[in-house]
Amino acid sequence: MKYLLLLIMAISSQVYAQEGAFRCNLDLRARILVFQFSKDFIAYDTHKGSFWKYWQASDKKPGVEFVGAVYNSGGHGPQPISHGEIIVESKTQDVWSLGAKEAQYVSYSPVRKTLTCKILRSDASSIKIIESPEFKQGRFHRNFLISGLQKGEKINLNKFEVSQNGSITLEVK
Amino acid sequence: MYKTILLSLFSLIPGIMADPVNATSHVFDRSPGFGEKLLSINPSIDYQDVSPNISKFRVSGFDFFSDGRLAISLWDAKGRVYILENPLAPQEEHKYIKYAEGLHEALGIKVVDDQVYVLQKSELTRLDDTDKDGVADEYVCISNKWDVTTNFHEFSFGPLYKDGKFYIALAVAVNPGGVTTNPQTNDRGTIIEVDPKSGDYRVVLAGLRTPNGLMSNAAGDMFVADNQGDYLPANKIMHIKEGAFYNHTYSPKHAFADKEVTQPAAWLQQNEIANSPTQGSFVPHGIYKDQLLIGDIHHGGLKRIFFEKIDGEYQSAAFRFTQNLRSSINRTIFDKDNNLYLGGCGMGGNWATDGLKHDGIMRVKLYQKPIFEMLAIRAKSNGIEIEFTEPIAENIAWTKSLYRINQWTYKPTRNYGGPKIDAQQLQVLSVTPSQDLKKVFVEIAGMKEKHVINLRLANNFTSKSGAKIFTGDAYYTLNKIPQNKVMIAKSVPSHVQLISNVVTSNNEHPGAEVYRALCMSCHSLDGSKLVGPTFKGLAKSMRTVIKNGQEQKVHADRAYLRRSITKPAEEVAKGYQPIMPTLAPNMSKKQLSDVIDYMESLAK
Repeated sequence: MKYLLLLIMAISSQVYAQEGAFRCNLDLRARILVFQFSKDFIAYDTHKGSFWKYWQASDKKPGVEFVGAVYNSGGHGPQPISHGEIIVESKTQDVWSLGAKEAQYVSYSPVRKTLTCKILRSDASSIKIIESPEFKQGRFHRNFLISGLQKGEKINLNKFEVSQNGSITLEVK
Repeated sequence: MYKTILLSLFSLIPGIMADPVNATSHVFDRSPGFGEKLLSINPSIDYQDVSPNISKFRVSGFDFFSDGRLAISLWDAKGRVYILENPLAPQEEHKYIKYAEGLHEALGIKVVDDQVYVLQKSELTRLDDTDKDGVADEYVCISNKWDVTTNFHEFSFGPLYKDGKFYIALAVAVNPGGVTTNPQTNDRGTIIEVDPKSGDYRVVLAGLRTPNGLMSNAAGDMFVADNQGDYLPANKIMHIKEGAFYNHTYSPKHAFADKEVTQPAAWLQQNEIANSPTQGSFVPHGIYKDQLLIGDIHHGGLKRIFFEKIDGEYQSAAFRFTQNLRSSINRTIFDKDNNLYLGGCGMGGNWATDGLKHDGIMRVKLYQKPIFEMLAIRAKSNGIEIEFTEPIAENIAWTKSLYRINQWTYKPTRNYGGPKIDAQQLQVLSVTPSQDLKKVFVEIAGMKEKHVINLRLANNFTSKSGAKIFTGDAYYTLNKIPQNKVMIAKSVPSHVQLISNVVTSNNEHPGAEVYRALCMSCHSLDGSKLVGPTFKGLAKSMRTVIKNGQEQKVHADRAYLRRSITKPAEEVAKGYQPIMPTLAPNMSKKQLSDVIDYMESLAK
């Protein structure tokens, strides 16, 4: 997975009110959150609020096949599975960190299509990171709105480092 | 002319005169409410189906806001939460707001300080309406710290809320077919207490399997229901006690599993009075005050449970209450006006009640008409005391042959369900009604602790006013026999003419009793699929079995039926799990022969 740092700017917000967000087990992983943008699907693991994968559904199959007792039968066993071409998949826990302190999952908004994490300091204060996935000209971007960073602090998402509050956008290739 | 005279004569002897034919009939024959599942709605209640015109409205949680609005979670593919704005309005004026969707198998909802908390399969979530438009727009994780896998059966039930903490029941993972998965991840089959400030949890008790139903009584004591399965020979209702272990086990063993097993407050015999008990509500008013009305997914309807404490521990008597509702009842709640709301839920097979819809909301008002029934049963040192809602006909009350007592216990094993153990009919030594004829002390020989006492009243049991009793059986979970409650039996007063012309034997097939004792928990008679094949049409049919890993066709003749009971692992019916226990050690040769005869009598 490659990230391209695009810009850091002041507060912005994106509202994706017309498409879906849902929670489920998926592909043998639990606690998954999926944002759906038509045929584009973005999945996060809410254990820690980490990005998992981005895939595109084909014309032949839905991006998520909802199988299982609650979906289509009283049957035992099966759980939802994804279909389509995986564009990006994180093989590691893709989690923001402040030194050794990792971010925790806080919430998501199905209306705004955002996922919120926080990094707790020892004094119980926190750094808040709101992620909003977005498609611009057919390309997947991860927008982050960061607040609560104190002067001199740096937080990391893998090799990317941020030292200022505000917005950051990563294009995912 | 004759009719007038006869009626006058009958009125002189209340009780049997209400149904003179039954006085000479087999008074313990089985019928709905008398050893069999009810078929009808309880005539004392006012029942309304107030379901919305919203598809797949499978209710998984109810709770009220302080202003009377009703929050409703659904167990559905879309993961929806609704708010019913005006539950007391006429049904056609009901206004539903879709408050949230996209949740993962939500199986409970709780409103705390007018904030909505919903329990998803793997997360306790607060649904915030940050922009105050009436719809939740931020789904906040309160806790997701317990371990999960993607096993379909790792349901989370509840939550209850008490003293600032949430209480959640975690079902175990099971394999398709119902056998517990091994190994199991941490802390499955437990009640956990969640601190909403930190999200941290601690285990309160362990040893549960499918605990679909948490409830609390007026005293603040919490209870949980569990479904029959492996290590659960019958359904249970358990008092949520700190540190308790309720016997369901798995590998690796839970830290609580070495504790002494705590007895349930209620055993509910599989397919006699329960199959998959859910979440009930303790009645806040009237003669049922502090009794539990509890639903059931596959057995359907509502059951009524009277609890009492002996030496500080709960035990109980279970009664049939009603059937013939719109749907299986998954959730219940009383409003401030004592209306009882019932939430329907089902998915087909044994995750539903046969012939009923699978969703909806129903509303019940209790006590709309008088009803003659057993109100309570209390354990005494030398028997039980039955309390009725009305005075009993005096001659019936004093006739001990109209009371039948059976007793059995259970032996939890790794096998699915289990037979009745140590089953026997007990001798009724005497019966002594109270002066007001509303209670009867039944003196019993041979009562044993940690057994279930099954009381069966005769079909012609009637009140002093001539009302026929609504249901004639009850299941008393006798964990302890009280030591200081010896009752004194009295002689029958000279003016009482006992009923003598009854036939207390019944006319059913001798194999039916064996079926109920040993087979009923897994095999139906009506064609419905439980964990084992139905007995309906089984005998003399061609069956497909798996033998030595190969599919084979066999004719279900007597030899096959005998093999299937004595050596169940050798030929396993296709489509079923190899979970049937070897019942031979619990059966006499006559019982084996009787039950095979019975199965053959059910052939097409």
